[in-house]
Amino acid sequence: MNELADILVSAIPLAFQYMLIGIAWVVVFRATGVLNFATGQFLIVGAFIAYSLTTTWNFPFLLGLVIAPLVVGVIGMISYVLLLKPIAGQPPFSQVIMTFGLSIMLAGAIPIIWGDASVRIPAPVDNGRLIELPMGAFWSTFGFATMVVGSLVLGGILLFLRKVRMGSQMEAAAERPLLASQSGININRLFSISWALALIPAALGGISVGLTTAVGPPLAVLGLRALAPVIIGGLESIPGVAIGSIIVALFENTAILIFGSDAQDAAVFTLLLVVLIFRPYGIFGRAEVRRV
Amino acid sequence: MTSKPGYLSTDYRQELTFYKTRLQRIVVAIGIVLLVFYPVRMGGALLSPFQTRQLTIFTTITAAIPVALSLNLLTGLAGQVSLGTVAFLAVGAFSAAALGVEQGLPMIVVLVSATVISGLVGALVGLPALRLRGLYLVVATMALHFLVIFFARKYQDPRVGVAGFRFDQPAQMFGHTFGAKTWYLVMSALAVLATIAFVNLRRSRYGRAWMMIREREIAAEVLGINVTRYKVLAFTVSSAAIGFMGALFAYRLRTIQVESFHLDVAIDYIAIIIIGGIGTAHGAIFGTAMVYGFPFLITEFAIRLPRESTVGQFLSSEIYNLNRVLYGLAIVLFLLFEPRGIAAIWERIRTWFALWPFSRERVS
Repeated sequence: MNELADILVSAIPLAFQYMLIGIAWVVVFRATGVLNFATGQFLIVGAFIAYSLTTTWNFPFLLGLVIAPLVVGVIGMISYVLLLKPIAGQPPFSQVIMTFGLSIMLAGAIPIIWGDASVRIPAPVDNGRLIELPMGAFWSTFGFATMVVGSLVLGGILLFLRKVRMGSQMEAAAERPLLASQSGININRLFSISWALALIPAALGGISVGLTTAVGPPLAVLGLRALAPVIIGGLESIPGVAIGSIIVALFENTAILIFGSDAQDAAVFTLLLVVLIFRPYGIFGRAEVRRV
Repeated sequence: MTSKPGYLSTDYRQELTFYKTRLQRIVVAIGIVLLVFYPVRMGGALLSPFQTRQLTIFTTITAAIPVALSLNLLTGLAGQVSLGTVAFLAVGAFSAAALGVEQGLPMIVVLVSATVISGLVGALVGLPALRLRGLYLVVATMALHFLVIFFARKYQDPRVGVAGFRFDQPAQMFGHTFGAKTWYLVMSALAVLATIAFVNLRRSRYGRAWMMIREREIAAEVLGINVTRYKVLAFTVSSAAIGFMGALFAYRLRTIQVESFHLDVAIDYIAIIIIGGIGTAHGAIFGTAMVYGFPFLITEFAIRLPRESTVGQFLSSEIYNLNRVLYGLAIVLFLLFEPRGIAAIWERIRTWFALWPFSRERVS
């Protein structure tokens, strides 16, 4: 019974990590129709920048954690302007390969800058049992912090897209780029901002992992696993990715309990494959109608 | 196809010839002679370290060509982008582990079985893939990769642990033991065979059907092409060939470890056909030479630098990562400036010479 409670409770911070990274996939896809396969590398970069800021550069802990995602956002924006903007309008395939190229470059650059080893971001507070729950389960400090930050990001992005002028413009540009640009929306600016906006949550997710476990080059697979909640949520829906994250986190924890920790990747990707085969448009997405 | 009028066929016999010009025939003949005599030229049994490295890299390149061509068949001709290359290499290699290492079956039997098994798995994957297109297929084949790796690990760990399966004896077939030179010749022969097969498949009924499906699936169906059948066929043929190569790689390297089957390699093969020029045979060859040859040249350059110098030290410690960066950069630059790859550059050079002395006139 304790194990079950543990699974249910620990799935929630994990779900928020997935959601933060999943939002990065969704926001980029909604805006530019590209799956950004460099997401995993960006979350590593975010966590490592936070690590360097708080250790080598002696930034105050919280300030470091705020600046690092912003830096990643800027790097993302630059990558969009330099690499993806010039080939906008080409088939999505070329643009996806471009993100592979970017991902390979980052994967090579990260160990040159920060080394091959996985590190834990040192924190002034202990990652102890912050909130005790019934049946011996608990939320740790950083687990709880992830939940708070994740909820804020989720609410913030939803508000931004629905209430802020630039957000609605982003929606319009995603739906019909040509019409949007004809009605005076600067879509290039919007697309580069959406890359920045997407990668900030990814970096936050990376930092959360860096605080609770460790950050290093192998973490890139986490970026790919976060595609599962994205696909389940229907690829374009932000509430969808939130619910998808909970499903994936619960499924992953259950699989690890039954089959051991090396089943982690296999479990998540099996779920992804099953959803793709039976409901390719996700549980919350619309079926795509193709006209002949 | 090309801008030089002389390359267009004027009758069916011309269309059907394998070589369109005499120059092509000469270039191919010289290429094959060089391929064969290159290792023969190298001293006796004892090779210098540099010669060994050369032989290894040339074997690696020629061995990668059939794999690249198989992926090019699926992705370049049939338009089904797949990240499952490594998964099928693993299926082939682990078939070799199960049948060759564990059961001790002869190599020829193992190779044939590995091909059949991978082909069957490919057909199985091809069926659900019918429902998916574009980005969804990329994601699905990526998920497949992780699944195959999981099962391979579950097979490997309880039997041999992290060390992986090992062939105690060098590969033997028909009483002949495979040395470094034999492997080089075998892989070169396979590369040549695969190229001929690809070129002929491309212009056959099958190749034309695949390209039609790639361009416009519904139109292909309207024209009477059985899309289901041809898509599954593309998956089956491509995965069978990749599985065969996977088993062969296992025999060549003599170790089969699940850790060596990394998703990065699948991306490498996509990069190969993009950099080379998608959907063409010579593109896959150029791409392989570039993606594997370029890091080799940089490494050779790095080990010749004095060890004490700062650059030398940096290069020798970071050479692997530096190669990744440069290689990612190469993909990016090709996509930005020449999305049709080296094959298109080659085409331009050829046109320039063909049109000389009027090369500067723009002919479209």
